[in-house]
Amino acid sequence: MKKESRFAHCEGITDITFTANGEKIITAGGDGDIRVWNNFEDDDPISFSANDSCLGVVFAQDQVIVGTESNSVEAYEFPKGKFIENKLKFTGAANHVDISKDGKVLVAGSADTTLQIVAMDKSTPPVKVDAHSAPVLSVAVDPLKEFIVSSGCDGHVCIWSFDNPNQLVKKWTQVFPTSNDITTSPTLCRMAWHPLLGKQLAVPEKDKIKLYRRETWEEAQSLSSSKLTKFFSVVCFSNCGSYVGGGGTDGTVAVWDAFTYTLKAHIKEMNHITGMAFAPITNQLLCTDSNGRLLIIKEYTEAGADEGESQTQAEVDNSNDRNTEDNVFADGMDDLFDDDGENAFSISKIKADVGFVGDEYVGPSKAKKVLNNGPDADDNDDARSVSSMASSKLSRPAAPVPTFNPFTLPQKPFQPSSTPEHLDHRFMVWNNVGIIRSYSTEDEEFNEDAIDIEFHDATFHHAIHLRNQFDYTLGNMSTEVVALGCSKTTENNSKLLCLNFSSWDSSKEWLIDFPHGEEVTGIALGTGWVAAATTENRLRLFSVSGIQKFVYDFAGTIIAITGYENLLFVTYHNGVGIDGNQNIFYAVLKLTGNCSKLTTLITDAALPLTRHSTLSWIGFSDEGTPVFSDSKEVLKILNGRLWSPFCSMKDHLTGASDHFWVVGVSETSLHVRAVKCKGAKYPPTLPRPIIMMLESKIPLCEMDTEKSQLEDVMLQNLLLISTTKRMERKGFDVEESRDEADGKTKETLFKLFAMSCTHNRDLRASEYVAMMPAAHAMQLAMKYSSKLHRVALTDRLQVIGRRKLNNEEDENNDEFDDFEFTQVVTHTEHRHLHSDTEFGSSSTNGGIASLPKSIQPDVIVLQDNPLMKKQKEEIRSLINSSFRNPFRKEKDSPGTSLTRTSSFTASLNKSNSLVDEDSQAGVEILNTSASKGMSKIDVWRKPTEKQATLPEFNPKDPNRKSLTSGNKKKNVFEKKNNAKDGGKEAPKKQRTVFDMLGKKSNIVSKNETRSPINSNPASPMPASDSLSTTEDSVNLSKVNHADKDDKEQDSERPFKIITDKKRKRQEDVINGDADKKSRISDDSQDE
Amino acid sequence: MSLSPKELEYLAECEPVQIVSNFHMKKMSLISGDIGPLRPGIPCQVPLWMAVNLSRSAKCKIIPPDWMNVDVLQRIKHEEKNSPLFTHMPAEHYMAIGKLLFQACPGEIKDCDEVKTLMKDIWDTRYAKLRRSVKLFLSQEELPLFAQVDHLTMMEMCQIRPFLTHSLEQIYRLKKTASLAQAANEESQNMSTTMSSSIGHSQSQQSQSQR
Repeated sequence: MKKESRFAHCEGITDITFTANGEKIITAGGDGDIRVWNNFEDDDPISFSANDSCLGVVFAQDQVIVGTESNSVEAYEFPKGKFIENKLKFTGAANHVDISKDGKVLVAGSADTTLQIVAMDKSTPPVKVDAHSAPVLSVAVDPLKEFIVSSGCDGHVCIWSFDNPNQLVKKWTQVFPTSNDITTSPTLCRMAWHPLLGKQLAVPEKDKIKLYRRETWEEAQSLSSSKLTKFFSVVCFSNCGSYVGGGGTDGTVAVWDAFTYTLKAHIKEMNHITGMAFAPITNQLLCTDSNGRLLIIKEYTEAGADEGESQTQAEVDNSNDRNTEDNVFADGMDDLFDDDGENAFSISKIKADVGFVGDEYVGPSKAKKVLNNGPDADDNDDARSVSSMASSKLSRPAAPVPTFNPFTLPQKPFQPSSTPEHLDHRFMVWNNVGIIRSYSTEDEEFNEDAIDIEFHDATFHHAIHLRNQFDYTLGNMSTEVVALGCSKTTENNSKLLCLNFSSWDSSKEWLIDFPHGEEVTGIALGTGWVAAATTENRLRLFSVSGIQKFVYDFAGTIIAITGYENLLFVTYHNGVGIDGNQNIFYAVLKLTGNCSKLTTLITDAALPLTRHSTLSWIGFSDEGTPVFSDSKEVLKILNGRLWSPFCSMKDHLTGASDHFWVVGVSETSLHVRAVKCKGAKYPPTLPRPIIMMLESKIPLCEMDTEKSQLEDVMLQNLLLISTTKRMERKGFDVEESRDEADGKTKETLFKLFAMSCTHNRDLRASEYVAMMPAAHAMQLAMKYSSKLHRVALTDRLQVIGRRKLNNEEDENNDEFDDFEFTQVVTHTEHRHLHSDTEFGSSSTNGGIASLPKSIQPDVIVLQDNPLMKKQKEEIRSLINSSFRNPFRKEKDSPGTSLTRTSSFTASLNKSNSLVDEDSQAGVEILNTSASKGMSKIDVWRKPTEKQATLPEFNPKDPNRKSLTSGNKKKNVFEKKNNAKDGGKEAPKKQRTVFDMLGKKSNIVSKNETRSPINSNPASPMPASDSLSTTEDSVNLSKVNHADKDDKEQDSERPFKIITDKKRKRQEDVINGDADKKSRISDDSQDE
Repeated sequence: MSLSPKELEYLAECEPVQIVSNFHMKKMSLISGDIGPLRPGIPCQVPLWMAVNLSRSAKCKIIPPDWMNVDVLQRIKHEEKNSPLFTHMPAEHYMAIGKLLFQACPGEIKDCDEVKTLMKDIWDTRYAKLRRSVKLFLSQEELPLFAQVDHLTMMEMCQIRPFLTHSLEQIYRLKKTASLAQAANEESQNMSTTMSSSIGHSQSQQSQSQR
């Protein structure tokens, strides 16, 4: 059992109740405020005020009804707190209110000694009962609507007939000491009916709580607590009727089991308990006291109060003894069943109906007899067995106890970057384009509800001021439109209003009504489209001019949506979360085809919220990457297909109750734009909040060490590099930030390398070097390590350097791994859709070659189609070869290979001499071991250059991978020789193959009439095959591949071209032409 | 010569300040460094002169510096009052920045008037302290006068410098003349004493030789 208390209201009688669904707590107190709490920990309850101090509060039909000191019972709209009407008027303070279980009849007791009964819809005039000779303290309505009970300061408790209110049914006199007012009364005497059929009435009588049986009004049980020193003041049943709680004037709170009457928990607080309610869902008891504090008692079922338990146990034993000894079973039976309640009785009855007594089958007639007639008609054994059955049932709780609820309440939908609806002055949205603010006034007469739309860029559009006619609560704005949404009311359906200020015609706005019952919960905007999420788990897509493009349904309640250009990011519930976590899924969708079609990029993936947190913001970064933040102040960014933490905003906060309200994220400048809210979750509209730029921070381990700090910088810059690459592909000018990030990465890597060197962490140092992007930086690293006399490390670095140059092609392929996720998936889509018709063209666009490996299976799936297979292959081979521009190859391959080798040797000599000069210069400053290192650099440079010259170099070649750095050199020379041979032999061979395949191509062209190159059959075919023959001749390992089918060669061909390009590029690199390199690499990408 | 307040203001205008502009501007490369790029709605650091200029033409909102709020200034004032030495000021040109911002964007500063009074209070406290220390400094008797004063802002230095240097010069002159006079006095005295002593000396020598 745990207890906690917190401030809720100022001093005075404070009452508490729950909403019908049990989600929210409503308290009303002496300060005249009514507060709606999400839970006990809620720091920002919705608060609205009644006309005067509140004495009692109930909730019914989305209305909060309070009895106030200003002689009236007032109804307020829930949760907005708008005053509806005065339900009842008295001539004294309304001391207590209660409502029937169906929420239709309201009863209130007043200081004017009367109580009044009225229907909630006011269909009948209120009925007045002159109940007491002193102010009425409290009232309670029977759940079956047969009785009303009232207590007064005269010390009496009266039961009235519900139908004929002036008829007194029962009266207990002098139950508690008399007084003249509720404020001076020693007890509030708040009574309660048992929630199940009102079978019991609980009345706090001095230091005991008496339970009276319905109809007979006989005392069934008297409950007491040893901690109580004064009187009991309030009593309350849990919703399931399993527990009864009592609150004392001295602050005692006690909970009993309503079946066994065992004391479950009792604690002592300071002040007079004036209100009490069991949480309907969770295992909690909430109380309010005269000091205005809210008190929570958690897990009251778990720790029993020892003394109470043993005492009741003894009582039960007693009753058993009495039953068996005196053999007055009939009475005992009655007693037990009555005490036990309806549940137990009906179970016995059902059992009897089917012929059981206890767990023993005795036959229907006998069982019924036992039940109806008691033991008189039967022998003692049976009676005893029934008795023991009944008593055993009695000793354990029969009804399910309100156990700990493992499920989390799903969070409500929200509009990102908005402040809550109940605020009078709030932000409807704050985004990159501008701010929408909404102002509402409580005042009915001067209804000046307004919406202010302000653009950050004043040159773009002037500010707009609107009257908030339909009570719009949602808003969003983009550079094209402002969209506003309102929820449904009793008269109006939910609406979406769009101010299309970018439109060139004269009608700038359109309004659309949602179907009856459907409400808009979120609005997202992009280029040329408006998306609205509704309560029907539905996403409605409109164009900016108001065309309904389509409707999509999601698997759960959509929580928030956000848009960016043609991307849409949707989050929705995927069922109930457990253990305090939310179960939220997300989808990233792309609008294609003039915004009329949604294609999924990512769908049905779980959103990785921090533990026990809720989603608090979603959006796109300025660069168009989905981002979200949760209530634990962690901002995460989509990194490929996974999410990585971008910024833990808690680190930027000083106060525990401060929060950041996120507005935007920039990846290129690595910061989060947020508003710091001191002691709140949301910023006020005035004074105008100041945006803070929070630097992104990856939560690495040991952030206080230099290593981690450097690694943080490095990782962030690596992230930045990949972002800029993606941006560049989209056509943004990001060169500057990319260069900056590149430089910074190198710098931090080198720092880390140097640090590892000084800490004798050679392996780590070598790994850092392996991460360096450029060979130049690696050379520096080697110089550094040789300066430090680290021979082993220098050797290692050499190997790494060599491998690095060899693997350059691989790395270029790797680049596609961080290819934007959108493109990856759209390519897949593309292949599915156009595979039959556009295969050739897509492959010439570098489709296969440039696609990441993960895409390849799609192609294979296509090829497996048995009907099309052969034809397709033939067509493809023909098309491919025609598009490959065979003429260039024909001229190129034999001729240039010769010239190339010569140019290679020239460049080699040149570079060697350069390096030699370098090393000579280096010798002067380096000692012997250092010069050894430098000579090693030479060794390393030479062979790699040679290898780079290999014309047949193929990344698909399985042998390549298996090469270790040790025997690579040998291979390199082998291959080089081969290359030379190949270069010479190629022309001859080509001719022969040309002749041979010329015929073959003719045959093919005869068979294949659909071939697009039918008119010119001879030229492409030989070219493509000559290409493959050169390949075969130069690559010994591939000789046996020569007679492989066309398909395989096709798949290799694009790579062939790539490698040729690469080879050329490497040549350029050797010649020291870096600019050319980048240009050519771009070319190869384009291809 | 010390700088005039106008010149100090000019220097203060180079201090960076955060603004939120409402227009787009590409990066501007100036001799003193790059400015921008400005993007509407996103805070950016620019020199004060630019911020004041833009805000005058209603093109930006200036975000007042962190220290320009009641809490911080009250703390500074308290520290300044309690400390015998000068405390570190949040900005070198706090008075000048304050003046410029109060002119440019009084609406942006929360509790503008209170901030103004607090800043004036701090200035007065510091200035009083400065004068007191000057007095203390000048009343020192020994001639090699040394004093270390930290955390003085440029404005305060410029304010006190003409007076201090002038008064020091005056004192120096006075002391010099005083010492000259004294020296002359002493010389004349010495002259007489040496004369008398030399007479005495010769007499004693004579008496010794006689012995």
